[in-house]
Amino acid sequence: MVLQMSDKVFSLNFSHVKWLLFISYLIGLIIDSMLNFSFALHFAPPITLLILLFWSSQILNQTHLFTAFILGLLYDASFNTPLGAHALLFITLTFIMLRIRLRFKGYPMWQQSLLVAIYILIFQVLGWFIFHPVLSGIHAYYYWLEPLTILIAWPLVSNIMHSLTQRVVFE
Amino acid sequence: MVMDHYTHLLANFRTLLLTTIDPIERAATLPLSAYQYFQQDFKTVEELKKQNQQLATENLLLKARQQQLEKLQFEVSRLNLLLGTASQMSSTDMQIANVNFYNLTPISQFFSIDKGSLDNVKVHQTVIDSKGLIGQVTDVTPASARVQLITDPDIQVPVRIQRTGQRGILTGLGQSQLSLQFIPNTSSIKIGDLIETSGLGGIYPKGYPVATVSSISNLKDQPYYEIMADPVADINLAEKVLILSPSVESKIDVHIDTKLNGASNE
Repeated sequence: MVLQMSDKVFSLNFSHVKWLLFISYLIGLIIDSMLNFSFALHFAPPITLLILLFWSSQILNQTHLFTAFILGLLYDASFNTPLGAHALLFITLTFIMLRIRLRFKGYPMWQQSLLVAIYILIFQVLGWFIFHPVLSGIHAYYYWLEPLTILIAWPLVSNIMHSLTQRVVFE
Repeated sequence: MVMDHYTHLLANFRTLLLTTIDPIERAATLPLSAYQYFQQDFKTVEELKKQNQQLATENLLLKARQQQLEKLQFEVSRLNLLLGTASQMSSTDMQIANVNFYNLTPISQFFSIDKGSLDNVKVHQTVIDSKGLIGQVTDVTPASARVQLITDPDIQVPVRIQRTGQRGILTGLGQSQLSLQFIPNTSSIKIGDLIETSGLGGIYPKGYPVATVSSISNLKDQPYYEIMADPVADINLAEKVLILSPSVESKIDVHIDTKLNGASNE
């Protein structure tokens, strides 16, 4: 079957971008670990989660819940948290994204950023209940202001991923 | 999640996941390794000479102390024999490891070392630096291991106050802070008291310095003090650490004991 350009734009398939998908998650995990272990930026936006949300909103024929679970487990192992804790958070956010992903795709960038910032706020609130982070002094502000960094991080991640997807699919 | 937090049933699965992400972590710590490499490379000859001199002096002092320690070990063994009690001194095998990276987040506090199960590192081994206790090995992969710091809220260390022998439990509070618990407000304690491992629980060998008391509060209607302590070890600065193997009885003691038992039988 010959794939038309319009088909690719409106229904991006897993098979079209499987390597990009895998490599983007890998790079996401490396960047997250790098920010924590090399640069000690503990309140940086979770890039892997942003990439997961991006793919959940773009590849519509999959639920991405299993991917969310695996990525969450790797996150738990990497950051020494109880196994399944991040997996639960990732699945919850992916599920919320699945509910509105058709509308989300049509939103302008500022509205998408705002929505993802709210998702990250939910991530922080649930994380606060599950992990009981020790927040003293300025760390408390950094923790709760992390969703604001998404307003910059989401357009960056989204644009890079869009551009890479277009290159992979059309070239 | 609950199973992992309260039991060790998923320990092998966690090891598998850690082994899987080991290459990712190595790639992630490349900037840190490069920074450390260049920082070492740009030391001047003068600095190296000065450092060398300091180390030579320190080595000489330590050798002198070592001589005294050996003499003391013999002394303790003889006194134990006279008193008819078992020797309390034990020797411990050690392994030196380099720290790969630190993770000191509000959620968990640990670091990774470059020794793993291939180097016979095992879970629950104690890790110290030149000043005192740092933490314990909690996860082991073939080429690396995770050491949870004593400042991690999940870690509790059975301790005693060196001056009085009063026992308590030291709990991590995160952010390089510790809390000493279960010290009755009738006991003697003052700021600056050294806290050392008590050896109870069988995880941490006894007698290693852990922290110094930094503040004491007497809470109303509470039977215990609220005590804060600062770790004595360089919790987030150490580049090289020592991994302690489970203690074995000192060879000197066994030798003398056997000899004297043999003599008494004759």
